[in-house]
Amino acid sequence: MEQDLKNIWKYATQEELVKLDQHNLIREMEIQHLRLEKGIRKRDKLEIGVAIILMPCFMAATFFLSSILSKVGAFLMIPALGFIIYRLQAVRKYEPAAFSESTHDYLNKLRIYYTMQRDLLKEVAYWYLIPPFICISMIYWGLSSTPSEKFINIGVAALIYVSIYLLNQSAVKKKLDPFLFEINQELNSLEENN
Amino acid sequence: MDKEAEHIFLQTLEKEKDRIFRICHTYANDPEDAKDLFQEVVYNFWKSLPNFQGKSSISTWLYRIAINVCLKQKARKRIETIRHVEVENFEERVQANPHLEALYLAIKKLDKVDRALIMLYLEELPYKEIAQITGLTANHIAVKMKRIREKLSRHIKAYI
Repeated sequence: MEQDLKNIWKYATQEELVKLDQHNLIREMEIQHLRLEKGIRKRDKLEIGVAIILMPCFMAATFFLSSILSKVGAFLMIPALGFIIYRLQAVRKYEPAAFSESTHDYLNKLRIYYTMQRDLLKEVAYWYLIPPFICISMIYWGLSSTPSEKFINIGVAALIYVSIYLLNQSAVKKKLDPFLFEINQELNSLEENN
Repeated sequence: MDKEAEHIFLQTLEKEKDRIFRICHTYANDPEDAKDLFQEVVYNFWKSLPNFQGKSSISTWLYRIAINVCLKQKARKRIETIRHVEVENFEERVQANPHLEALYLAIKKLDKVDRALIMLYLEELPYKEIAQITGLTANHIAVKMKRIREKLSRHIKAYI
């Protein structure tokens, strides 16, 4: 049986399948690399850039806002944004960068990384949504003149935050959970010995 | 990348390109997808080469990249088409031989990990090298391979 399989497969290996233009390949690799790195830098900037830009804005707001409650809210927003950057970066460093490890090690690292990503999104309310929402509510409460204005402003903010929460939970369910399930299956298949 | 690394990259790729492409093909949904996967392996091989420390052979390093790229297919970062890689229609070649087609369909029925192992085996890599690629022991590979070959034979019978 062993030899039969190999003999059949040999037929597939008789002709050259891939032709490389060696002369230009290296240059193209460099171009691809620059493009991909640029994309990664853009993603990082977008992800933490907004938080970095907002931090001095809230710092300024603590001086210029008239209400004490709003001042406190704006001031607390700074560590809340800092914590968001920290959480995002803390998980990012676990992303397996190279494909050159053994399949077993690579799948294990992939499992750790995506489990952290999933937990991050599952707990999104505690680090990404509730702290800034409390700060925003304090700012609105101090700035709004009438009770109805206070409740409308805070209500709109609450709706936005709830939608972000639901979007994140949907990403966990539709994307990360199935992906983790697949990685676990692959690891089990690799490790099983019968 | 220095000239020596460039030389190693091109030389290794030239030697292993067809084997790598056949592996990618078993994970692809269509010929275009196979080409994309292959290109991604080539790019990641190029990118990771400066980190190669010679602890394994360079071809083992390349096979690891190929298998890991194929397994991570769902979450991969897609690269743009590399213009300087031309690929023949492997599908036609497979379809021209009923036994090969049956074997090919049977391989595609295996789970992704078994598919990787049997492909490395069919490409005549020794168990020791397959063990280095996968991170298992050669004995473990031998046991698994026996089971995979049996599974494969059952699947082939269904197609012939």
